[in-house]
Amino acid sequence: MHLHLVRHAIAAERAGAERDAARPLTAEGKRRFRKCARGLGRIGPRYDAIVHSPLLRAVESAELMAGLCDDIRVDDLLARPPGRPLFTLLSELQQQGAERLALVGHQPWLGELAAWLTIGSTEAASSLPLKKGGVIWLEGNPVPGGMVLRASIPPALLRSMR
Amino acid sequence: MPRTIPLRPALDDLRGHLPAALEGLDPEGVHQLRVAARRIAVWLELAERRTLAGDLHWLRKVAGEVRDLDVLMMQPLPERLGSELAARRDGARRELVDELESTRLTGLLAALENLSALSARSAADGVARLVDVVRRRGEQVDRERKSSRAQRRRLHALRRALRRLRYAREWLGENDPALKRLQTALGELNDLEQLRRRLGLLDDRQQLDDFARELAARIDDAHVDALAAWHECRGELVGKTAGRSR
Repeated sequence: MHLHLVRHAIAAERAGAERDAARPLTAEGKRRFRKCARGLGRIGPRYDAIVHSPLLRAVESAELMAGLCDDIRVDDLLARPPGRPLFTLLSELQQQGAERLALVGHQPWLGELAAWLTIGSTEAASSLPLKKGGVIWLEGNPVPGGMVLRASIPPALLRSMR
Repeated sequence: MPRTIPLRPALDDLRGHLPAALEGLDPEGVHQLRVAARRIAVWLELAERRTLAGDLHWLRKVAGEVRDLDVLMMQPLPERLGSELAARRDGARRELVDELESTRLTGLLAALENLSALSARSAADGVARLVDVVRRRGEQVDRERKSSRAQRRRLHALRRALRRLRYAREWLGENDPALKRLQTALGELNDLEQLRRRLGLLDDRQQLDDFARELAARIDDAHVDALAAWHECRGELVGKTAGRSR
C-alpha cells in the first residue's frame, strides 16, 4: 500500500470563543493547498480513498483534494493519537482493495503514526518534519514496523510540481 | 428570507433520532434518522461541499436496508415471505448497530458540528439548479415510450430529484404541498416495486404466482396515479417549459 500522511493547510488563529475544532483555513492557506493538491495529483494515480479528521481545517483540506478521489470519508480516529483502532481501519481498507490511500490530519499524531508504521514505536516521531500542507509518503504493509519511508515532501515542493 | 441557514436543526434531529435507531423498537427511529441524513446531504449540496456527502450516503445506505424491509413488512404479505423478510431485517439491524457505534459516525457528527452556516443566496442558487434537474427528469418520464418498466425507472429518478428539491426548499423555509402530494404518489409506486424485487426470496411457486399477479395489478394502478400526479403538479413545480414536452 502507498500511504500519504497529509497535514492540513494553514488555518486561522482561534478567535474569541471559537472552538479549536471549528477553525477554518485562511484564504492564503486555501490558495497554497490547492497547489499542493495539484502536486499530489502529479506524483501518482488517483487515491482509492481519502480519510480525514473531523476538525474543520482537515475537512476543508480534504475538500481541496476532492478531485483526486471518489471515496472521501471522515473518521474520528484521525483526531486523536494513533493506536490499534487506526491500524485496524488501515488493514480493513487494504483488504477492501485500497492500494493508494491518503490520511488528512494533524501533528503530532501523523508523525507518531509514521513512526509507528516505520519503526514500530513513537520514539523518533518528532524527528520527522511535517509542515502544514506537507506529506509523508510510506509504502508497505500498514502495521507497526511494516512500512518504509518513500519520501517526506514539504509543501513548497508540492506546489512547484507542474 | 434569512441571510444564513445554519445546519443545527437537522443535526440536532440526527442526534435526537440516534438512540431510537440503535434501540430498534420503533421503526420510526431508523426512518427519521435517514430523513435527517437526507436533509443534511441536501444542505451540503446547496453549500457545494463534496466532503461528508459520501459519509451521509454511507449512513443512509446502512439504515436504508433496515428501513426498506420495515416498509415492506407493513404490507400484507404471504406468510413465508414475511418471515424471510423478518430474518433479513434482523441481520440488517445488526449491521446498522455496528455502524452507528463506529468512529466514522462519531467523526461525521463532529465534522458537521464544525461547519459554518450556509448563505441564503447560495441556497437559492442551489434550489434553481435542482429545479432544472427535476425538469430534466420529468421530460425523460414524458419522453419514455419504450415500456412501462422503463418509464417506472424514469419515475424513480424523478422521485429522487423531487425529494432533493423538497428538502432544499424546506431549508429556505418554503413548504410546497404539491411537491409533497407528488412525492407520496411516487413513493407508493416505489414501495410496491421494492416488494416485487424481493419476491425472488419466495420459493413457493403457487403462493408466489398468486401474490405476484395481485402485486402487478397494484403496481399498474400506482404507476397511473404517479403519472397523473406528475402531470397535475409539473407546471406548478418547474414552470411551463415542462408542459411543452407532453
